[in-house]
Amino acid sequence: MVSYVSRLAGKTAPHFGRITPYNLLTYAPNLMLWGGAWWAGVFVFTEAWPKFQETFYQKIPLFGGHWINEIPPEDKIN
Amino acid sequence: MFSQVRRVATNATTRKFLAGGALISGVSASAALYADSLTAQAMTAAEHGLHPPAFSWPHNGPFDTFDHAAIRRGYQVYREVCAACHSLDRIAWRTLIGVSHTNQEVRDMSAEFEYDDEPDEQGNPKKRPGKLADYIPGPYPNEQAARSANQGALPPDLSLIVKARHGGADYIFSLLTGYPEEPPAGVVLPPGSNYNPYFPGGAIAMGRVLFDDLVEYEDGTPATTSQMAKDVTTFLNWCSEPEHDERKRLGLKAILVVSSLYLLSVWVKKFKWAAIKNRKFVFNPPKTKK
Amino acid sequence: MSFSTLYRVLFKRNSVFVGTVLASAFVFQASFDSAVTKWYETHNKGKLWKDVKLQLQEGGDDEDEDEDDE
Repeated sequence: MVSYVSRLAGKTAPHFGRITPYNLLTYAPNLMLWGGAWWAGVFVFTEAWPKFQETFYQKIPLFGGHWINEIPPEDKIN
Repeated sequence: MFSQVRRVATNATTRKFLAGGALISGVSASAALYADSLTAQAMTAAEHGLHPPAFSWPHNGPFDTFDHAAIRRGYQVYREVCAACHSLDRIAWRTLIGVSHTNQEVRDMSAEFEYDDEPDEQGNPKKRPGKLADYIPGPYPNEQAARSANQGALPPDLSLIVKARHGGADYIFSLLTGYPEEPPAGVVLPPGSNYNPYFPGGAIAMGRVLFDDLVEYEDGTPATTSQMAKDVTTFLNWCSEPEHDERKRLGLKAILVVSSLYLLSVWVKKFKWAAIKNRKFVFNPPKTKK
Repeated sequence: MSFSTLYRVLFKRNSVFVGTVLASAFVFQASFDSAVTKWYETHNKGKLWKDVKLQLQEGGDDEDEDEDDE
């Protein structure tokens, strides 16, 4: 007997919502760039935050001096 | 309308009448103003006080900070002269640090005053020397004490006095230096008051307090009356507006950013509209057949 | 740099465009603040507390201070 394929044989590719490994791979460069943009946004909006200034921005080479605000000991309030 | 006026004015009698009317109203207005300046009744010029001239303060400009040397000398004048009667309730010692004095100097100045402490174990009140967090103490414990020590007049608190008076620093300086040797003839003062033309009504309970060489400045500046008045006014101006220097710095930043954004928006508008504004519509009518 | 190069490098991808805007905002807000503060302190030199403090430390007996501007 010849076995006929009577209907389309389809199988579902692994996916999460509309994301599949294939389109994730295609989008990867763009997503990485968006990641960079997001980081730049975090930098902008935490620029005036002392904890961030001390931890990150003061350590930027050449440019970090901007966030180092040295108050002479005789002018400190405590 | 103008031609009508001209036609009326050409009439010689009318012209004389108009000139005479202008003369009479000018003279009577001057006479009324002069009469107004002679008395200090309600709603007269003297009641509102003489307007102070505008002085060229070092902090006048939109980008000019206070002269901090003057603030420091002004605090000395306040401490040695004004503080005998006037309080400075809203100024904490700590705010002077980095403005006019160093940390150690302010600590020493505050420690010279006594403040109420927690009571001891028997519940007896105790005193402690002042700390940086304390507020500058006033000369009197309460308003009644202040009034009874000043023949019923209450010396105002000076913390916000520059903001609280018309004319601000100019008024304070004029008032301090504006005491004449004698009140003008005909001025009747209530008992215990002094004449000062800048004070509304002219009769002020405070007498002249600043005289040449009343204090000795540590930086060697000659302590003339006007120098002391200028310094103490600068100090009181700082008390009223301690945010002044930073406010002007931020204002400069805001003006630069906002004005460049404005110019940019003007350019963008011109750029976007250029094609529309320069369009030319031409209507070529179809040729009519003969 | 012609506009087409500029377009290709910066504006073509939205991620690069947004990232450039935010990164230059970060650099700008810091350097603009530094520049304005520097000008402000030069403009008001001699009146600021840090200058006054130095004058006092040097022994303030020099009388050539310009305080006679009433």
